[in-house]
Amino acid sequence: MSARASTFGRAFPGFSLRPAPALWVFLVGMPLLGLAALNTGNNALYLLVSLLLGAFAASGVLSRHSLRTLRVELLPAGEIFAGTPVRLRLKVENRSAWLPASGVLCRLVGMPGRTLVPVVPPRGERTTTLTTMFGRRGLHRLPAVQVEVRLPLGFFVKTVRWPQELEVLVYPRRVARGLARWLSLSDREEHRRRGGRERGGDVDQLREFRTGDDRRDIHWKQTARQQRLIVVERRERRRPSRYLVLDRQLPRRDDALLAERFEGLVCEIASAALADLQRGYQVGLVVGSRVTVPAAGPAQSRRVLGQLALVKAVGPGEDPLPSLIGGEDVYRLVEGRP
Amino acid sequence: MSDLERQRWLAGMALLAAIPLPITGIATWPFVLPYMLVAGWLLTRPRAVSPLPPWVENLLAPCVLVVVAAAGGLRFGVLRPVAQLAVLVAMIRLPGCASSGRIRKTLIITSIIGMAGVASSTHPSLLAYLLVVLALGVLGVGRVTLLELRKPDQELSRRAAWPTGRLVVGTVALTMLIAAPLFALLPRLRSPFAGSAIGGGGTSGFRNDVTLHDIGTIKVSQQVALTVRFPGADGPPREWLRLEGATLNHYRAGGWVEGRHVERLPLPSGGQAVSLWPVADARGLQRAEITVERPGGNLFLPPGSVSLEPPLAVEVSRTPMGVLRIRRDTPVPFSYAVSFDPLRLRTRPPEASDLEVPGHVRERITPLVEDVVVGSPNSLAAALAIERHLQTEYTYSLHTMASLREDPVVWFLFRGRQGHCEFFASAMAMMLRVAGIPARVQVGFSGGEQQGDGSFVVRDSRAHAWVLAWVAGQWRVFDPTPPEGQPSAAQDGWRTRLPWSLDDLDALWNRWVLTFTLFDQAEILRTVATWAGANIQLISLVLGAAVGLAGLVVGLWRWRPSRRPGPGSGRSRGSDPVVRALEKVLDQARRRGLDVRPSLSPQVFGALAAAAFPAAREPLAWLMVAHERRRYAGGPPPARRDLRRHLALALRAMTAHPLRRAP
Repeated sequence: MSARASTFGRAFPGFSLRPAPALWVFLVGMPLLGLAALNTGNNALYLLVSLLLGAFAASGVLSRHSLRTLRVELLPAGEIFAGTPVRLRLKVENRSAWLPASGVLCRLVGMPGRTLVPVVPPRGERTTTLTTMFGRRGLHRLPAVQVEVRLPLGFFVKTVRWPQELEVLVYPRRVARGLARWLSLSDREEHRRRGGRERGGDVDQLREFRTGDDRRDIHWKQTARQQRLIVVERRERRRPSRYLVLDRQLPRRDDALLAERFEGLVCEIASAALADLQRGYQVGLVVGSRVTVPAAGPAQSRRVLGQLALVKAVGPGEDPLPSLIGGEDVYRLVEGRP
Repeated sequence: MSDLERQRWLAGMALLAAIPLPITGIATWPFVLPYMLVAGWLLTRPRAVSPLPPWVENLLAPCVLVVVAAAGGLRFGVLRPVAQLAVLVAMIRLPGCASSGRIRKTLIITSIIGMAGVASSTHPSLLAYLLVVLALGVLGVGRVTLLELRKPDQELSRRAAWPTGRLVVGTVALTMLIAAPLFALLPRLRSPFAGSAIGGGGTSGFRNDVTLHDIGTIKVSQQVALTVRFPGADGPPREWLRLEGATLNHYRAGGWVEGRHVERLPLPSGGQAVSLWPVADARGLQRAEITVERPGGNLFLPPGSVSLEPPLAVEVSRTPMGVLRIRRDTPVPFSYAVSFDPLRLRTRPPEASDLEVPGHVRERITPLVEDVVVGSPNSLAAALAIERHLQTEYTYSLHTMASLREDPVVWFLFRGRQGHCEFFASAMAMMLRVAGIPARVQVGFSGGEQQGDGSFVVRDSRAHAWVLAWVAGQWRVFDPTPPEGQPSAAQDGWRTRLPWSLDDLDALWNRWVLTFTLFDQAEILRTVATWAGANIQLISLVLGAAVGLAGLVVGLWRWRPSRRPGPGSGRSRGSDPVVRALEKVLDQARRRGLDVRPSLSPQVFGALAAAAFPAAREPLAWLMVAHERRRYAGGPPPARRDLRRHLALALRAMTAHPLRRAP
C-alpha cells in the first residue's frame, strides 16, 4: 500500500483527491443502471451507461488536465501585522493551450483565506486577492496554496498544493496603545561628531574669532561694526531623543507565560512606535544591546517594526541593555511577587 | 443558488426528461401533456412556487394509481406503467420542488422518467438527445458549483457564473470518444430483443428467416443487392419482379425457419447448366443473368426456375425446398444465369408441415378465419378473401413494437393491426393453414430500378415476403401486404439513388447500436484476430516502432536539461548531477517535515538535516563536500556511481528514520 502510495505520489506530486457527493450518487446509480442494461439487453440503456461512464472518465481527465496546467503564485501586498486581516494577491495562471480552467478554488493551507476564480482562460492568467491573517509576528514563509478543481462534473474534489517560496515579515500585533514609556537619552549621548557641535542651534554668545573657528560662524554684521572678527557661538541643539527600550532578558527562559507576556510587551512597543511614527515623530528603539537611533518616516517605521518583528526573548544575562540605560521607562519583564 | 433558479433548473430537467416519452409511446399524451404543462408553468413563474398542501397530495395519490391501472396497468409490461406512474407523481410533486427537502426526490423521479424514455427509444436522435442532456448537465453542475463555492461577498458576473462553452463542448466530445469503445466492450449477456432468436435485424434486406419479435423500426437500406438482366427479352416480364431467396414452412417461436434438418445437395460448379427442375418442353423459357453485389448465403431465383448456370468457382448447394445456398464469405460480385418459366411455379408439393399451426395460435385465429372465409366456395376464393382482408383491414408500417409476451401473429391480427410485410405474410400463411390450405412463406426481393441499358438494380429496400398457397392443385403466389408496402418499379425516385441518406444513418444506428449483440462483439474480435494473424509482421513492425519512439520520447524527456517546474518543486533542476542530487535531498527533507527555507545555504541545510536525520549524517556530509567542491572550487564532478550510492544512502536514511526535532 505504501509502495503504491509512493508511486502515486511520485506520479502526481502534491496531488490528492477526495470524493464529492455526486460520486456516491454515481456509485449507487451506475450499478443499478448497468444491471438494468445487462438484464434487459437494451442497447439504449447500454448507450446511457457508456455515456455516463465516459462522462465520468472525461470529467476526471479534464479536471486533472486543468489542475496540472495551473500555476499559482501568492504575492504579499503591503505591511502585514499579526492578528490583522491582510489581503494577499494571488496570481493564477493557466498554461493549457485549449482548455479554460473553471471553478478554481484556492485556499491557504493552515490559514484562513479562500477565493474562487471562476475561470482562467487558456494561456491566460487571473489575479485576485484573498484575505487572511497571520497569528504571530516574525518571518513567515507564505502559506502553501491548495488549488481545488471540481468541474466539469464534480465527482471528485481534486486538489494540488503549491508551496510558496516567498517569505514575509509579519510585524507585531497592533494593540490598544496605553501610556508609552519613552526614554530620553539626550544628556547621556556621546556625540562623536567632529567639533562636537552642530550648526544652527540657539545663539549662546558672540566672541572674538579664534584660530580653528569655522569661518562660516563669523557674524559679519558685528564684525563690521566692531572692526574685528566676531563669531557666533551657538548652544548645541538638543538632539531628539525618544527611545522605546525593550529588555529581552526574561527572568526564566523556558516559561510559556513569560514568553506570552513578552509578546505582549513587543506588541505594545510596536503599537506605540507605529502611532508616533505615523504622526511624524522621531522614534528610536533599543532592543537589548542593539540601538536604533531616532528617526522618522516610512524607512524608520520598517526598521523599527522589522526589528520588533524578529526580536526573541533570551535568558538572563544573554543580551543586556547598554549600561547607561535603565530605570522605570524600560519595557522589561520581572518576576511577579507572590 | 436562489429557490427560483433551482425551481427553473428542476422544471427544465423535468421537461427535458419527458421529451422521449410521447415519441416512443411509453407514456401517451394524456399523461405527458399535464406533466409538461406543470413543468412549463413552473419554468415561467417569476417566483418559487410552494408545494401543494399535504392533504391534496394524499388525495391525489390513490387517483394516480387508479389512472395508471385504468390505462392498462401491467398488461403492457412493466416499463409503461412505471413511466406513467412516475409522470403523474412528478406532476404532483413538481410544485415546491425547490424547497430543500424535495430536491433529491424530484431528481430521483425525474431520472426515472428520463430512463424510461431512454430505455424505450430506438431512434438515432436518442444519441443527440443524450448529448444535449449531458451538455446541460455540465452547465448545471458548473453553475451550482460556482455559486456554491464563491465567497459570500463575492459577486460573479453573469458570464463568470457559468462554465465556459469550451469546457462543455470539450466534456461532451471527450465523453463521446470514451463512450464509443465502452459501448462496444460492455458485456452483453442477452439479446437486445428478448424474443428474437438471433437478436433481431431492423434493417431492410434479405434474411434467410423471418423473426417477427423484433421491436422498433425497420430501416430502409438503399444498398444495391443485385443487378438483373434479361437478355433477349423485349421487356421485363412481370414475374421476374419476384426473386425467391428462401421458402419457409416451419413456424417456430414467433418466426419462420426452414426446418431443423436441412439436407443440402451440392451442385456442380464450373459454368455448366444444371437442371433444377425437369421440363419436357424448353420453349417459352426466359433467361435472367443475375449479378450478386452484396455478400450473402443465397442465390436468388425467379419463380419457375428450371436450370441454373452457376457462378464460376462458387460452391452451390440446394436444400430440399429448392433454396440455393452458397458460402456466406463468397467474394462478390459474381454472376450466374437462370432459365425460368414465369408462368409456372415449381416447388415441392405440399407436406404435412405446410398445415402446422401452433395450438394457441389456432385457437385465437380460428374465429377470425371463419369470419373472413365464410361463403368462399373454394380454396382459391378463401385465399383471395384472406388476402383482401389483410390488405384492407390492416395497415402497413415499418414501425412495430410486438409484445414479447404473446405470439407476434396473434398480436398483429388482434392488437397491433399494423406491421411490415413479414407480419402480413405470416398472418396470411397462418390463416390459410387454419382454413386447411397448405401455405408457405417466401422471402426474397420484389421490384427493381430499370437502368439505361435495360438491366435492373435491386436494392435492399426491395426485400419482401409473400405467401405460396396450394390452391386448385398448384402453388400460387399471394401478396397480402397492402400496395403501399409492396416494392414495385413505381418506387424509383431521386431518393433511392442517393448514395447516403438518413435511412442509411438509421440503418447504421439500427445495426450497430440497437441490435448490437454478443455475437457482434465476438465477430469483431474474430475479425480483429484474423486481421492481426494475417498481418503479424506489420503489427510487430508498428508496435516496435511505437515502443522505440515512446522510449526515445521518454528518454529525451528524462534527460532534458531542465524540467518544467511542477507542484511541489519551486525551482528547475540544474543539469549538474551534484546539484540535482542535493535538490532531491532537499525535496525529501521537505517531505519528511523539515522546515527548509529558501534562504538556507547548503552548508546550513546539511547541518540541519544531519541533526534531524542522524543516520544520514555521513552521506549528507559527503554530498555537501562534493557540492562545495563542484560549485565553488570548480572541481570535477564525482563519479556517478559514488554520487548515486551516497544519494541513495541519504534518501534511505531520511525515509527510514523518524525526524528528530529540536527540543
